[in-house]
Amino acid sequence: MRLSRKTRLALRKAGRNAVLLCLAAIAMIYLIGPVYWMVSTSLMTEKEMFQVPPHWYPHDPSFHAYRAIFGFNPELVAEVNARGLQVQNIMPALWNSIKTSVFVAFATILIAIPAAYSFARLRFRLSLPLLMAYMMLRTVPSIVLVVPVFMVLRTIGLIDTTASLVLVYCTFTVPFSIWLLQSYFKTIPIELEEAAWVDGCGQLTAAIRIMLPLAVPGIVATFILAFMASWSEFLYAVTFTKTLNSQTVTVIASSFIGIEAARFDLVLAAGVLSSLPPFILALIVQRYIVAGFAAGSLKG
Amino acid sequence: MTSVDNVALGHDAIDREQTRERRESFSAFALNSPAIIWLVFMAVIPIGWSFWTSLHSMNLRRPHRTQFIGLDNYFELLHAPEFLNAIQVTAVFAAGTIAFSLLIGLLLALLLNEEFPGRSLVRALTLVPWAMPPVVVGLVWSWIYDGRFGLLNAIFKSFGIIRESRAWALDPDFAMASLITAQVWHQVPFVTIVFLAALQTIPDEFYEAAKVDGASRLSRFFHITLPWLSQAMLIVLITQTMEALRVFDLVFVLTGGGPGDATTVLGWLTYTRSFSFLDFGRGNSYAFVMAFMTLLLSVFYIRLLWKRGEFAR
Repeated sequence: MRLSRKTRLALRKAGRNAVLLCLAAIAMIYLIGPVYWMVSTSLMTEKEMFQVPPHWYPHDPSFHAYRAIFGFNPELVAEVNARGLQVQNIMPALWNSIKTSVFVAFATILIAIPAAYSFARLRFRLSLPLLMAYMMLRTVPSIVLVVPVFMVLRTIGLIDTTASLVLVYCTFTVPFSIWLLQSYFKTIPIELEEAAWVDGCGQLTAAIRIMLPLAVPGIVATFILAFMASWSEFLYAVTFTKTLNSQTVTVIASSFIGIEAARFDLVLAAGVLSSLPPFILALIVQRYIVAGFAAGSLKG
Repeated sequence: MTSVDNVALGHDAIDREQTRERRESFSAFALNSPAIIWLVFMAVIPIGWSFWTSLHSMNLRRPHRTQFIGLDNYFELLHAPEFLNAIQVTAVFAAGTIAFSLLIGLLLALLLNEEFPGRSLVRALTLVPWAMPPVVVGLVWSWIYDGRFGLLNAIFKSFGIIRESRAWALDPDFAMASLITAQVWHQVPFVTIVFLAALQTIPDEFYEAAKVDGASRLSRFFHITLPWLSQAMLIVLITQTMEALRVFDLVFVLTGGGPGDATTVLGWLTYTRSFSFLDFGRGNSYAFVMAFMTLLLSVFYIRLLWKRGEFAR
């Protein structure tokens, strides 16, 4: 009797797990399917890509698309460009994206750390209104700023430079970073710093020597999120950049797509390269992304 | 400082407290000044300038004909078919993305709230569509929607749903649905995580008490789970409306606002007005209407976060 009850329970649990795993599999097909399809297509030859019905996986995987967009197959690139496409070497654009995103991330944390400290550790009357103002600026759509900022950049001659992108990207990375950092700083107990003040240590020294080292995980996560946001940005980039002097990888990837003679193997190889850094970084700071979503401090 | 504290502290202490506060206010503004200066120059002044430009008739093709016309650009909006169309298109797009991302996100969150082997892996992979740059989301889906070799045609044909292939994103009847599907796929992770976070704070006692009272699984869901999620739903509602207002990359890659103006959302109209037609006066008035809508939404949003205690120390 006892055994059969145990077995029944085990069976029920196994049944429940099976149902949940089936549902999870459906969810994964929905969420990861398009990503799989991107990777798979980027590894297909031209002939295989245009199969009807499509092959579900590359039967004859090849890296020709990656070779082509890295400039190792000029013949193929010349051939598709003769058919009206604008495929070009992606290296300069990757470099521009890296440069822009690193500068943005550094500038962001340098600006956001002192501001976030003031909200976490100082008492001042305008603390709440200021924090709300930052929150509001975070929600302004880029499309609202793109025209006036374009006029400003044109006037000071910064169109088509990496600097222009760094200047404008910080307008959305700084507000969310201040928000994230101030809530992280508030979780660090103030007692250690207070002890240092008693020992005659100035508030600034205490902040730098004691709080900052404890805040390193939060600062690194903020750095990564700012990097990701600037890496993925498209609207400003496509408006403010004109040449490979400053065009980022999202702009170049979108320019590969032609009206008639689309070569999706090349387009999606560029897609894979532009998604790889954000994918890896998202997995690293998974926990912070989840916390940031839940607190409403990251955009959707 | 409460008044009781003030009495207890005496005058000297109050003075000291006041200088301390003054000093802290000063340091706070010093610490915030880089952020404030940056944002004032790159965001606040441009928005103000945008409003000022919207009060002019200004086309870069005829720069010397710039003229102050007051609110005329705004009055004209009310009669401009392109603007009224864009409002309607944006509303349909917003309603569609909200409805489906809410539904799919809720189902996914309920699934991830259960315990099963491999749950943490599934939860980690849920973030993947969110991490993908929106432009790449557009590129992937435009290949899936492809008129001759697209995956969607192949799947629908194999199930016998359609006979003839079609270019889904360029089809007048399906362009909007295609755009919504891609946007929902990109937004579902965010919605899921917001719901999941809310689900995990429901105290177990609620369910146990309901079980004791003999409530069925379904009635537990409708009487405990759903009401508990109302705040999370509001957050999703507001942020998704904002996302629908700011959508650009997907439209750029997938439909280009077409066919005709079937997918010309407000953001896309603003952009093409300004950069294709160089009609900066009109473009800026559209931009400012969007800024105003977002502002209203963000006031609601901040109130909501305030109620949830996100501003607390």
